[in-house]
Formats: sequence, C-alpha cells, structure tokens
Amino acid sequence: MSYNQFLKSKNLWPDASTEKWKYFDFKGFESSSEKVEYSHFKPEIKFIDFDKSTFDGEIKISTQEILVSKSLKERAEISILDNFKSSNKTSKLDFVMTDLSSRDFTVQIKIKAQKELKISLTYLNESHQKSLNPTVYLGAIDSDITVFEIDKSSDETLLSQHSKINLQNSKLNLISIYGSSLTSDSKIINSEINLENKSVYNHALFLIKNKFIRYQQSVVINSEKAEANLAAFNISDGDSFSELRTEVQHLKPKGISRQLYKTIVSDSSKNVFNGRVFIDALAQKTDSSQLCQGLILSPKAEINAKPELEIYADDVKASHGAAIGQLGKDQIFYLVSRGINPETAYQMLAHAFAGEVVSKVESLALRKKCEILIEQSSGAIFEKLAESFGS
Amino acid sequence: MLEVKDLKVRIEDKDVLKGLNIKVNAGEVHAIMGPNGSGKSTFSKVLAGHPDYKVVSGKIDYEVNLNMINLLELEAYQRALEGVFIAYQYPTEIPGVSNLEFLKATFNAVCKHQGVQELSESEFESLVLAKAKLVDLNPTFLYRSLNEGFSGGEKKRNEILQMALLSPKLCILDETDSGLDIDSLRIVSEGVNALRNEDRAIVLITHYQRLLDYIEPDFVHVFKDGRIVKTGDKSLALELEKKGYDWL
Repeated sequence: MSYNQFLKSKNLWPDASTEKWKYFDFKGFESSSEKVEYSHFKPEIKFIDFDKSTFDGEIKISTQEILVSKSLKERAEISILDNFKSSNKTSKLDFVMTDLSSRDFTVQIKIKAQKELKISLTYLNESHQKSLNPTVYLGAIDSDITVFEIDKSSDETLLSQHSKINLQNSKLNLISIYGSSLTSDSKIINSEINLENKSVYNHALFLIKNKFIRYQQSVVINSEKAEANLAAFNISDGDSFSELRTEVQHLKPKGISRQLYKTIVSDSSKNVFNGRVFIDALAQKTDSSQLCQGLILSPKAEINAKPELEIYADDVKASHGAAIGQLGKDQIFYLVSRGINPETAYQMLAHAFAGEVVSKVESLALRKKCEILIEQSSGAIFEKLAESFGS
Repeated sequence: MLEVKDLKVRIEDKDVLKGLNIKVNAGEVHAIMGPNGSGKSTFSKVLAGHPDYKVVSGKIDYEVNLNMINLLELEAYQRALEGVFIAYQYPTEIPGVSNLEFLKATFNAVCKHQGVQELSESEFESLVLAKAKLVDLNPTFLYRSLNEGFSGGEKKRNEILQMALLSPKLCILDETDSGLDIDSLRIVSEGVNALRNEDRAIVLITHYQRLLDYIEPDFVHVFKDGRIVKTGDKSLALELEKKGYDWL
C-alpha cells in the first residue's frame, strides 16, 4: 500500500447500524441536546525549544497551536494538512458517532532512516466543552522510533483523535496514556496501523480513570514476518465507561501478533473489550495470541469481553482467552507465607496486574514514568482492591 | 523447637492428618517419607497456615523467644516472621512482581519484625547476589517476574535462595528434590547443607532416598494414612527404598 493510498484509505469507524456498537454506552449522549463546539483553527506549526526535554523531539497539539521542538526538524519532516470540511458545531451523539478528526487537521510526521529516535506527543485541550480533533499520520521507513503519547486535557473537554501509522522496515515502540491525573469528559480514539517489510509495532496502552473512552485500534500485518505486540491496561471507577476494540488482520505469512489486555473496574464502571483476529488464507504460519484478564471490584461494575478469531489459513497458531475474576488465592498465600502482611500482598498483586503491561515498555525511563502515573492516579483503587480481597 | 501433638486436619470433607505426633529440636534434620496421599504435604501446608486446611484438633507448640506458643494461633504471615519457612513443591508463579522486589519485601518484613534496620537498595542487592551464588542461581532471574517461566530446578533454587536470605529457624522442604536433575539436586542440597546449624531445624519431605545421600538426616519418619507409623535413623530410608511401604 502506498503512502497516498494508505492516507486516503477508508478508516474503520463504525456506524450505528453495525453490531460493532454492541455494549456501547450511549447514556448521556442520546438525550443530550447540548452542542459540542469543536475547535477548528488555522493549523500552523511553531518550532520552539522545549525546556529540559528528555526526548529527541516533542510535539504538543492543543486547541490553540501546534508546537514542535526545533531539534525534531533535523530528524523528521513535519507538516500540516487541513481537512476542514463542515460546520463547527455538532451534537454530542454525533461526536461519538462521527470521526470528527476527518473534519479537522492532520499533523503529518515522516521519518526516514532514523535510529533510536524518541518523540513525545502531547494532546492538550484546555477549552471547556470544546473538542480537539487531530489526525496524526506517522510514516516511518528504515527507522527505530519510540513515541510517548499522552493526553493532558482538562476536565470537561472532548478528544476525537485519529492516528494513522505506516511502518516500512521499521520498529515503533508506542506508549499511549489517556487519563492519568486529568480526566477529559469524552475521548474517542481511532488508530490504524499498517505494517510492511518486516516491521515491528510494540504498543503499550494505558487507559486510566477516564469518564468515557472508546479506543479502537486496527493493525494490518501486511508483510511476511511483521510483528504486532499490543498490551493494554485499563482502570475505571465511578460510573465511567471504557471500551477497547482491537482488530488484527494477518494478510501475509509468518506474521506474529500478541495481545494482552488487562482491566480493573470498580464502583459501577463498565468496560468493554472486543478483540478480533482475522487470518487470511494467504497468511500461513501465522502465530497469534490474545489474552484478556479482568478484575471486578464491586457488584455493580461490569466487564464485557468478546474475543474473536476468524481463520481462513490451515497452518497457523492462534489462541485466545478471557478470564474475569479475582486475584489468585495461591499467589496471595505464597506472599503471605513469606512474612508479607495480607494488605501489602494484595497491593503487590494489584500493582503486578498492571505491571505486566508496564513491563512491556522497553525504555526503563518511560517504564518508570508509566509506573508513577498509574500509582498517582490509581493508588486509591489499588487500596480499595486490597480491602475488597482482605474482607 | 517444634512439638506437634495429636494433630487432626481436614481438607474439604476429607480427614488427612489423623493424629500426628512429632517433635523436632533445634539443630536436627528430620526426613519425612511415605506413600502418596499420606499427609506429608498437608503437614507442611498446615505449618504454613494455609487457609484451606482446617485443624480439627491438636496443638503445634513452637518456640518463640524461649517460650512455647501455639503456632496455630498465628496468622500465616506471622508464622513466617517467627521463622517458619516452607520451600514449596510447586512454587507459585507471580507475573508482574519482580523476584528482587519480592525478596526485598519479604526480607524487609522480617527485618522490621526483628527490629533490625532495613538495608539500602544497593546493600540488599549485594546481599542477594551473594546468596544467589550459594544456589548457583543466575542473577538474571532476580530481575524477572517471580518464578514466571522458571524451570523446575530454577524454582527450587529460588526457594532455597529465600531460605538463605530469611535465615528461618524451622525449614520445611516439601519435595524439594522432585523434578531436579542430578546437578541441580547436588547444588540445592549443598545450599541446604550450608544452612544447617545448631539453631536451625530442617524437615525434609521426600519420596526418594537419594536426597538423603546429600542431606543426611538425624531421623527418618514414615507417614501412612495421616500419622507417623515408624521412626528410625537414616538406615530406615535405605530399607524403604528396598522394601517399599507395604510391610509397615
């Protein structure tokens, strides 16, 4: 698939008529007459120097401006495409049903022959009841890149984000954090990844205490021996809704895909996981696994997990599983029988539950960053978890 | 150090221990042998305080600070803090908890209980690396998730590493020799022997005499149907090897 074909390809955004919306929580959207203003502005890149950056380059996308560190100019080609098409007001229902990013702007990042390039990508929406709708296109050839992507939007804001990632003989470690200490009102993220020429895509996704989030990811394994490793951790409380939808398409032989999804729900929060793996008749010797594990902390919390395998090749390894329940009693006993008090043991295991996803982050510094963010925002839930199992 | 009196234990609706009596003094090594299902592993789980095992009657006297207390009155973690250590037959895998982090948590818990100052991270790491040499455990295993993906031999070495680190008073080794190749058996046994001293008691639960070639016991007990049916010296193990258990 050429760059232009990929950029123009139809995304997988579902419409209301399809089964893909099953379990989706429209509460608060259908009845809302409230209009959402989305913040179209004339996109322009400002190149600046970021203070004390630990990255090779930083990009900040806000409702006001797009800031890019000067240092990144030398290693990547960055430009803006304006997609603006229609009015700047929409209903809340439209917000979740439509990919608003297609109506706004695209930040295009092209990288060629760069090794160990570390980029920070921040979304920053500080405008009350306004939505930020960027599309980010990342194209990489013969490169090895790490991208740390974080949403730092304020409360009562909306994010409709679309990512298109195209890798050619490249490796991308993408760490995405939505939520953390700040909570946007609603987030709809749609991510499409195309892997060519033995590319490797490692994704660690953290959805932390979002009020409403739907993260949809589609990975196409479009060359022999290309590899996608997807790990995600979600933690929810209150009456929030979170949904992760993944689709991995194996179109060529000997591709590898690994999926690990872990979720903790408390209070009356609701979580949905839909994971589909499609293996084309041409994709012989595919090696694919998918595992979803959930912890439910209160009687009103809910997890809906729906793993799906669709296989048309006859020589493949493919596994999937879903386990929803409580922390392992044997694990707790093992820790306790070594002198660790039960409360500490429960907390260690709760951290370990998230830690399995954190451990997928290759960079030690970024792993620490993820650990701190999870601890800061989820510590109270982990304590609740300890209490619930201790009782 | 340990005196078990007429201990009766049930798991679910099944009586497993049916009046067990055994006395273990500091400095002694006891071997417990017996057919499958005779209650050997149950005995170790009861000592550890596993919640699935219900003590119907009996008493376990255990010496703490020169006083005898009833071990059954302590929570599982309190027993460990008082120096009871079980090296498990099947050590549990805990993904996401690093081995080093776990070792530090358990070591600090014991230090705190004993009123000893905890070690700094670097001091602790040096201590663990030194102890790991004792059981020939590759240091890379310290940085992996606890027991996850470890081979049988590596898991058993990791158990003995914990034993070396925590310096318990009473060590119960539950079929530590099962699943070990000859070299691993020798290394693990050497590790255990290095930890033998006059203040520490060791109880070896095993099916095979070969472990006792490496770790020489003072007493050998035979479990059958939930109680001890015969006690002797190390020659009893050789006799069992030849005759089996039917003659008892």
